[in-house]
Amino acid sequence: MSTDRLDSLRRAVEASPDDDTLRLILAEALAEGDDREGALAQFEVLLQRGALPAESLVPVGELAGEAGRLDLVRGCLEAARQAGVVDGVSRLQAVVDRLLDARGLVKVPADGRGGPATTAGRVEETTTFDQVGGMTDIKQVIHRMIILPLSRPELYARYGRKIGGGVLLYGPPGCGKTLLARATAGECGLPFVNVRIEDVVDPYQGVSERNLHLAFETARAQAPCVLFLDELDALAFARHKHHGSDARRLVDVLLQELDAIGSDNDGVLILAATNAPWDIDEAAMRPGRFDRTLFVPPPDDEARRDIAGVLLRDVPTDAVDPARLAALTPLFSGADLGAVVQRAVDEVIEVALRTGGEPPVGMAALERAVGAVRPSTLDWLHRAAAYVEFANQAERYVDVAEYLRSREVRRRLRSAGPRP
Amino acid sequence: MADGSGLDLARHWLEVGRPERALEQLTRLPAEEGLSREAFVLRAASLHDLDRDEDAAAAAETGLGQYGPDPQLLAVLGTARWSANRYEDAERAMLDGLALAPTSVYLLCTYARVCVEVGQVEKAARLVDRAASYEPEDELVAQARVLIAYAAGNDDEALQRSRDALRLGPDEAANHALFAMASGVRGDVAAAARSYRRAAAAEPGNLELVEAAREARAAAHPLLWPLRLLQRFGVFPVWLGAVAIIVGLRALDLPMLALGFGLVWVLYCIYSWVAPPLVGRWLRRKR
Amino acid sequence: MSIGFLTFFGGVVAGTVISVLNAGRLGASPRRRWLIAGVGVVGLAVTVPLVIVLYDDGEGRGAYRLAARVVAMLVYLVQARVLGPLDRAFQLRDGEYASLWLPGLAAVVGLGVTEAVVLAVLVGVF
Repeated sequence: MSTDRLDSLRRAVEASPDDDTLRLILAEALAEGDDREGALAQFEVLLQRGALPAESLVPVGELAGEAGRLDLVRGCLEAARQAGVVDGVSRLQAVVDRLLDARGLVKVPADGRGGPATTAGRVEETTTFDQVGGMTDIKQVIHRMIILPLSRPELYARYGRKIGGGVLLYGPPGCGKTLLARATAGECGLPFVNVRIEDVVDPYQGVSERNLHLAFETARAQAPCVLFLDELDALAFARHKHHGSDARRLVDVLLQELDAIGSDNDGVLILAATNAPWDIDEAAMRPGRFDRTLFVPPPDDEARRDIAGVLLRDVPTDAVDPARLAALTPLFSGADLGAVVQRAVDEVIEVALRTGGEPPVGMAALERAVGAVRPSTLDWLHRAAAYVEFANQAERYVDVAEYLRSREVRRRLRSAGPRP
Repeated sequence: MADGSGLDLARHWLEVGRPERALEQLTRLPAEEGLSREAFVLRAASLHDLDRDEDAAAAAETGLGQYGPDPQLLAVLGTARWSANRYEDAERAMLDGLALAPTSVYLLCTYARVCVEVGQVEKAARLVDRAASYEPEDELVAQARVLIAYAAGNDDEALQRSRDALRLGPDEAANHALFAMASGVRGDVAAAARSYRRAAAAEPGNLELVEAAREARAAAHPLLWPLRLLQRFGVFPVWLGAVAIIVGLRALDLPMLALGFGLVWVLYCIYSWVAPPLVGRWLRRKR
Repeated sequence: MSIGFLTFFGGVVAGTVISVLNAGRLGASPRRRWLIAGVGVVGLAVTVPLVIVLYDDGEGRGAYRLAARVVAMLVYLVQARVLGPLDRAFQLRDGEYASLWLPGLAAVVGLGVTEAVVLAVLVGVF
């Protein structure tokens, strides 16, 4: 295009700054005429106005990448994701990664093992179900849902079932979700890649998303493996609840990684845990992402007995029966049992200080402590009851609905109402 | 962790509705970060979210003592005081905040809500109009307008404004609750029940919303359909109407009809006293 | 709205006293409370001559009783209008309504009977 024509277009855009079509023509003309900076300035305005066509987002992003304009590339990448563009998004992500690398803003990968993704040093998880007391029912479900398909891939493949995909463990805090996830990896003889929100979130623009992407790359490099996303509600918090913050972009990246165009995620079993399934973005629960959910209830009798046994192992006791303690503490989590033991120990220490002796912890002290500790799971169960009652998501949370209907749980929830 | 990322993580926890984790994160920060202005803002906001308003106000005041007047700290202080029903202190903090940030929609709308709660409806309307001049499509503006219309007794306007709020934030529990409230005062119990249900589904940890949803569901139960007349027009007007009918029938020399109507009316009154608590109790047992 | 029933059965004086009490509980200013009391006084001032004029020695259909109740209802409507915004503000503050049962019952019985007796005396005098 001739210089006169370009000048004429510039004047027309200055005269009608709101005419996006004119501006787009000018931008394209400048790009063709090798005036990259000029073109990017116009594309940037169009992007801010939301007027850049979806099919132009990737080419403009690549052009911005050539000019080292990280902010513009990120803007195009985000807009492309939101517009549902598939082709070329991973290329744009690679451009962002390259620019971030060049700025020396690469962080330690999310699993804390240092260095970029590597196939060297696969470390398999050693925790197994034997080390998780009780919870027989949930172990059976995990075995059927996750472990068997991994051990008999050919059988499942014959019926068109892919191995991998996402499973969400949800339930009250302190009830062993992370331990179960580790034990699942151990049972499958797979490495356990743990992604914590603390290792992902970073103040520099784009680095949080980069860290998350790197975590997935690490997992893929170590496939087959278990990738564990703890506190998924912190990573995938419902976007409509965010008020225009950076965390929304993180959710977009997570969803993109879960989808992983093609078969990139083959052999990566993604487990996640959350205390607040109702806060998770609905898009993360769609087919192909976390479409399998598993309720992890408070520890059962057997599990509580084991936990009590471990907690009392190093405490001087007198005729303390862990089974009796377990029977007195329905719905107590591991942390709650810890609080009970702590309280009983504190009482006995008080006595010791007063009398000068060293009395052991007896059943009486433990029973008094049980009366004083309110199980932390109750508030969660009240919240879950309300969610099941009103969210009409029964088909997703059938197992927790069933648990809430059990007589023991209903009796406890009624006698100890929600904390005001 | 990179510089400043501790604060970033605390901010993130607060944004994803985990104020207790935000507080925990703030305690882990080195002194310089942990005593920064933003740390005070996050600490006060987290404490407010945990309903620890006295502590929230104390944190905000400490921050103000250290950094001087600051709009964000004053906003959190005002909000905490308002939550604790200390209206005059809330007003003072918000006015100080507005002196520094006169175009803050948050401060203008929150101050307006304080005014509504103390019965200063016209003043509240002026504040919201000012906020709307800066951000006409802000959700806070729409929400405040619902409350102003409701407080002024303009129930039709309250309903319309609540629809505007829903349009701006269709997934927001607060907007569903406002729509439910506006529908309820106009006697539309079915719409109120639906909206309270959506609000409770969005925030199942909010006890007030959950209770409101349960009460609204009971009120909309088919067994209580005969009581819709009372819900739509109000108990006293309907009662007056019934008395007028009975008096009128007697004046027209129709004593038997008057007696019959009177008996039906008495049975209806008894039903209106007895049925709601019974239905409520039955639904709670069914849960 | 329960004050409506109270005014209907107990008369203008009973209704006004309870309305003023309620206004105090809702945090009404002294000015607003005086306004409510003033409306009640006006209502009483209208009721007395109406009852005297319409009294029919019990032979008629009790038009005086109907008139007294109509005036009482009008008084209630005006007082409710004055209190309306305060009541709404109270609800928005999540205020807990204290029970008006006992004061209400006392007003209907005590003040209602008193008002009826005073009106009867005035009818007798005039």
